[in-house]
Amino acid sequence: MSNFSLDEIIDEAIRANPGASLDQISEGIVEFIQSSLAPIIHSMKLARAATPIELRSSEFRIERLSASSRELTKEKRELKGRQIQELAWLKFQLNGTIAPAPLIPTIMTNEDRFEQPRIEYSYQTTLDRNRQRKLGVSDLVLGKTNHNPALISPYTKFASNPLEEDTFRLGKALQWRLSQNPKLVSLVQKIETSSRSYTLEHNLDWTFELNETADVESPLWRKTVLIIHPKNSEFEESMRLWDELDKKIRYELGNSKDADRVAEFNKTFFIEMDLR
Amino acid sequence: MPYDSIIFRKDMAGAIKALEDDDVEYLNIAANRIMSNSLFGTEKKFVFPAFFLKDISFNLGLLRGSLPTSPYSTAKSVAMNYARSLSREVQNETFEPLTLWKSYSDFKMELRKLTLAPIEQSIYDTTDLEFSKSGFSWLLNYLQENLGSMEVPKNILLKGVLNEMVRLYRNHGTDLNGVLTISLLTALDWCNDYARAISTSETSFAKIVRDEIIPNAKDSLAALQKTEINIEDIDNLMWKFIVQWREYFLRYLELPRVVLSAREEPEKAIQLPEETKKKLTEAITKSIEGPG
Repeated sequence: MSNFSLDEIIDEAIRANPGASLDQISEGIVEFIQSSLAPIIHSMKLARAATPIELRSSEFRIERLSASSRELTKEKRELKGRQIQELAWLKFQLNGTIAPAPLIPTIMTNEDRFEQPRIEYSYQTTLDRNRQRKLGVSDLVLGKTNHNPALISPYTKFASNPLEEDTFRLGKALQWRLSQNPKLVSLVQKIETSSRSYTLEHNLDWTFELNETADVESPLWRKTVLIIHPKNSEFEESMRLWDELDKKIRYELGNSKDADRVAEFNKTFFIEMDLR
Repeated sequence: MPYDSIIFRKDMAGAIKALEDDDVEYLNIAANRIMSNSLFGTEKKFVFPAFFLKDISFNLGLLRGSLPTSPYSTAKSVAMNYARSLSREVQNETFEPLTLWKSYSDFKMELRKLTLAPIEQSIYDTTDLEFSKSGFSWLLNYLQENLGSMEVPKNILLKGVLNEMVRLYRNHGTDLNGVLTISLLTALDWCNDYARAISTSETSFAKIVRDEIIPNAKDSLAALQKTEINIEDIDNLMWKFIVQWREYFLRYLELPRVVLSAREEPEKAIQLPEETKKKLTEAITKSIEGPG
C-alpha cells in the first residue's frame, strides 16, 4: 500500500475541482470519509479470537519477559483487544441489531448473502405519504431511498421513488444525527413543512437540502444548513423570498414547546441559498 | 429435488466453518439459508438447528462487542463445542427435535453465566428457576391480556415481554420450557417486525397485526400456557412462524433499518477522483486496522 498524506489528497481534490471553494473541498472530503466508514467497518474481517488455550499460552510467554517488556506487551495486547471489541460492537450494530434493548434476540439480518448495510433513516412525513398516494406509488414503498431505479436487481431492497425529484432532501450526516437524537426530528419536521408550505403558497419551483456540515475553520463545530435551490426565480426576488422564508421558519421553530432546545438549535442552524 | 439431508448437511458445514472463523455474519446467513431452503422441502425439523445457529450468531456478535478478549474466547469456545455436537447430532437422518431442544437448553444455561456483567457474576452465580418460571408465567398472562395493544404502531409489547424474559433467563436461568417460550416469541417477533415495516399507515398496521400476528400470538399462548407443554405444538408453531418470516423476506426482502452508513456517492458539488477515493479508503482502513 502506498503512503500519502492528507495534503496530497486535498491537492488532488482541488486539481479535480478547480472551481470549488475550499469549503466545498473540505465538505466533499469529510462527507466521503463519513460515507466510507460504515461499509469499511462492515466489510472488515476481524481477527479470529484466540482460544482459551492459546490465550493462556500467550500469558505464560509474557510472564517470561523482562518486567518492562512484560508491561509493554500486556498494554499492547489489551489495547488491541479493546480495539477489536469496539469494532465488533460497531459491526454488531451495522448488522441491523439496533434494538430497543440490545439483549432482545433480533433478526440480525434476514438475508442470505453479503451486502453493504442499508442507508436508511425511516423518516417519512405525512406529506411524503400523501404525495406517494397521490402519485399512485405502491403502498410497499418503505421510507425514502436514493437508489438509482435502473440498478434494481433481484436483491435490491424495496422500491425507490423514481416519479419525481424530492422537493426536500435530508443529507446523510443529518440522518445519522437524527437517528442519534430523535428529539431533533420535530424541529426538522417544522423546517420541512414550513419550506414546503412556503413554496406552495408562493408557487415556487424550489427544492431544499437540509444537512449537517462541518465548519471549515473549526471542523469540530457542526452546523445544520438548509440550502435553497431556487429554480426559475429572479435574483432579487429570490433574495427577498429567502429573507421571508428565513423569518417564517424561525418563527415556526419558535413555536416549539422546548424553548431552550430551539434556542440551542438556532445557534447552529443556517439557511443558505444556492445562487449558482 | 427437494431440500434433503445431503444439502442440509452442506449448509450446516458452512455454518460450522463460519463459526470456527469467528464470522458471525456468515453464520447468520448460513442459518437463514437453511431456513429458506427448508421451504423447498417437507422436512420441518431442519429449521431447528438453523434457529439455534442464528441465536449463536446473535449472541457471539453481541458478546464480541461487549466482552474483553478472554471471556469472549471462553464464550466462543462454549458455542463452538455446542455447534459441533449439534452438527454431529443432525448427521443422523432420524434426529429428533426434542433432543435438539434439550441440548440447546443446556447450552443456553452454560452461555448464561458468560453473558453476565462482571458486577452480576458473583450475585447471580446460582439459578432460581422457580422465580424465572413465575416471571415467565406472569409475562405470558400480561401478553394475553394486552394482545389488542399490539395493533398500535408505537407499542412494542412483544419486544418488551421478550426483553424481560431474556433478563430473567440471564439473571436466574430457565428450564426447557423457558427456552421454548423465548424461542417461539422470538420467531413471532421477527414476523411482527415485518408487519411494522410493510404497513403504510396506522390502519394498515393494525390490520396486518390483527390478521397475521395476533392469531399466531394466541396460538403461542395457548401452547405455552398448558400445564405440560407439548413439544409438537411448539415445533409446529415454530415451523409456521419461520415459514411466515421467510415468506415475508421473499416478498419484501430486507427490512429497512436505522443504520449509519452510506452506499451512495456524496451529494455535494465536488467530485473526488476515483484514485483519491481509493487512497482515502485505504488510509481509513489502515488507520482503523492499526499497525498490528
